[in-house]
Amino acid sequence: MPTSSTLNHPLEDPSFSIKLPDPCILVIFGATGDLTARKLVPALYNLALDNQLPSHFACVGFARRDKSNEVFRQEMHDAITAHSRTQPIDEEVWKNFSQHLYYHCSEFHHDEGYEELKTLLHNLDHKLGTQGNRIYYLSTQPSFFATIIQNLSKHQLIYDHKDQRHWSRVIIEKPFGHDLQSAVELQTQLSHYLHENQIYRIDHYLGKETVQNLFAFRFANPIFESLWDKDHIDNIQITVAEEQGIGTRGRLWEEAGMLRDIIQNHVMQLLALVGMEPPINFKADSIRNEKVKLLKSIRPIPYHQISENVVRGQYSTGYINSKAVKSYREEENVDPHSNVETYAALQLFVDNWRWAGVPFYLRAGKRLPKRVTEISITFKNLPAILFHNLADSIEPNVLVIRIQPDEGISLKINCKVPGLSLLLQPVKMDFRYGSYFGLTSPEAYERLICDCMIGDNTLFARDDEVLTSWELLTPILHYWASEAAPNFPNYASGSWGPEEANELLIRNGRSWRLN
Amino acid sequence: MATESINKPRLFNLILYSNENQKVAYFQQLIQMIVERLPCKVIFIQHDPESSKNELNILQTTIVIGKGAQLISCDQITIQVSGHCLKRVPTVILPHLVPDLPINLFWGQDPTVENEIFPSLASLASRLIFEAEEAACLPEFSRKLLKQIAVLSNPSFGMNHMSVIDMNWARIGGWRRAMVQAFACTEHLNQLKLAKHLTIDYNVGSNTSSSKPNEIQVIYFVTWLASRLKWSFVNLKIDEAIHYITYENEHHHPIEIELRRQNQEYCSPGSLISIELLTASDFHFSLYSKPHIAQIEVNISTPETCDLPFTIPLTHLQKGSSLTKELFYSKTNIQYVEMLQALEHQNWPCLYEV
Repeated sequence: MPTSSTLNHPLEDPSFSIKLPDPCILVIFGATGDLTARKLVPALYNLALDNQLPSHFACVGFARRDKSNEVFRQEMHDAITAHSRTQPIDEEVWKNFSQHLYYHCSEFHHDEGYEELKTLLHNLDHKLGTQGNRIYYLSTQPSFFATIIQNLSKHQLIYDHKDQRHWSRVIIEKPFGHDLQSAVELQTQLSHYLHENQIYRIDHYLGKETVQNLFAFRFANPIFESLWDKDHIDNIQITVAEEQGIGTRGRLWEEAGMLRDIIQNHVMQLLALVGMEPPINFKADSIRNEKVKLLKSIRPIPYHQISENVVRGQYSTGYINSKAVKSYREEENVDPHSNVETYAALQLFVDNWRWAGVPFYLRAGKRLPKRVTEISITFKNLPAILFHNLADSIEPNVLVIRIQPDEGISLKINCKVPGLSLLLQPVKMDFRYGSYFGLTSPEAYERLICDCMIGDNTLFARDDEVLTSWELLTPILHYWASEAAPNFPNYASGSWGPEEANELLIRNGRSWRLN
Repeated sequence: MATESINKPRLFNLILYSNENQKVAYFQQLIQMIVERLPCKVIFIQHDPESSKNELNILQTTIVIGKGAQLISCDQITIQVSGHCLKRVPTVILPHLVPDLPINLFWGQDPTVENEIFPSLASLASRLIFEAEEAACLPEFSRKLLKQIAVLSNPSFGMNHMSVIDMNWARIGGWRRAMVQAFACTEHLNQLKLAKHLTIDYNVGSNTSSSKPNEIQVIYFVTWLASRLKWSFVNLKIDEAIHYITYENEHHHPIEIELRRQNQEYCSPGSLISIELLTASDFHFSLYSKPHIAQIEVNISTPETCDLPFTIPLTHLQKGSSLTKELFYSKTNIQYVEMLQALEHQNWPCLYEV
């Protein structure tokens, strides 16, 4: 049925720039899992609180454990109480929202389960006016993706992408494959049933306000864009540090490792956003085209040079916040002789006109001194002409984009110390998101789920983005699989990682900003 | 004792003018709402036109918001002025303005009423927000305001292209959006075009300090609807509790509208409460705001059928962020200007003695 977004509606105000999401039902596969309780349902609740959910909406949790709608609703109430960014819970909003939550019990491979789901969704369409629109959120192990999509298609729960009456979309959580080959296989399987426009590969970093701000920062501030190249920048560092260990995810981590879990998706996305060319417009494919172009410009690391350009690490015992913590190999469900990395650092080069010769240093690690995700851009230092006597005290300008926590941007500049002599002191100009914009920002999942309802896939990874980053990183995985790490564990918990990661920069006269 | 570091962010300069002593507390609350969402440098001009003294006092205070590590402070300069000293105000505020940041002028009275300092202050600002909830004679108000907008928007006026935002127009933003959503599909939109009778309840409110009726929002709403659907104004009958308006649609069919006063505590004075619409095909649409929750429930029925009710979010409420976004980030609204142009030609008599 045509809606106001397609009609020339006489009452519609073009200055209300936010597009309203279509009526729809969101089915979460794996609804009894951690992600649903910690992120997805709290995100939906906050969308309801902010009046961003469509007026006709339902959420159906699909999982194997048997429970009633009421039990599921109570569990979700507890989850929202524990994890919602807004507190306390608005019970009026919750009461209204909870009536739109349902639960369906089935195995992922049972035909009857899908037929029952179909009946349930059909009834909800009649009851709630959701018009047949569907989002299927696969919050499950990747091994179930193909089975679920196949069954959704088999039971006509997925429509052809050209269907004008209603739409269906699938959100897939990372990891998308565990190497290039498995990613290609998964993509082949999905594309058998779904058009690329129906696939929403979620990387929640792209939903963060600070990551979206990269666009505004780069392309709404000519002063910075004019410096954003090899002539002015010495190096770029991207750090994703966590102080937590792998916790109870031992089994999963043994299959994954840091390169797969964080570098291949979050870090490569940040790299693409920092390095890409300005898009021709803000349409999804224009932006994604530029990201892919950047990723394809990254120089592949020859097999025999991997050890010089990539460092892996595994945490040993140590102290985090003054508390003693165990090593990775002592964690639950981890092989005591495990070779899996909890830290990875890479030196990459982008071979294009903008970035030729500028090293990009990427690293991600568990059990590092603090939780921080940031991008630091170190500018080239000045020639020692005017301040040649003070050469040692002149620091390069550094622009730091803090993704989390303490979201904001800072610029380090050199200032004269007040007094009779000419002494220089580096100082920071600082912008903090939280200070300027008061209210807590929407969480990443709120933005992303809303965008999926609207049909905007700008902030979701496209197939070629994912496959290009796998193409770059898979040889590293093969190299590591073929050569056991000689010295694991090789960094103490609470330190900034293995010494080899420092040497990666020191040998080129550089150092990590956080060290 | 642990010290908390306080940040002093400023997104813009906010100059707020009030010439009614009894409204100072209200405007201070408004300032609080604004700075909690958009920290800014505040200059609050409190003009007392009834005072016989010639005085100008400047006070500096700090509004502190947030908690823990996220404490934020915003400076407020309060200028209390009376008598001849008023003309000094434009120069007095100049050193307090933060350079390089936008200047938003919040004018707490009818901007069409002559004021000695308005032209000087308006020439500094890139945005004029005003609240004229008590414009007595609406056609005249519209006429003057349209001229004012034309002057202020002219690039040769002051230094900036000025956006003009009417608080009452912004406040009905939620209902305007709700109308779009309620009549989103072709069938419902066609029914709207066949409207024959409209009843709108609005809140006069018991919690207002003003003795004057607060009808601007509902009048704006009806006039907006009429201007968008190309209804022609026919006549108007003012009653104590109900106003009756007749319009004609493009096919010269009459549309009878009743504006009914209610007294509700759960919504703010002047706000809309419900809309009932009956069409020539006997479709009945009912939209009403739910108490204590920012939603509008929509019921649609015909003599034979009854659709399931659904809810629409009600935005642009005082406590939400959509109102502040509209006040501080939107441009002069074209639909608002067209609404004023329609209002200019409607025979609204003066609603009360000036």
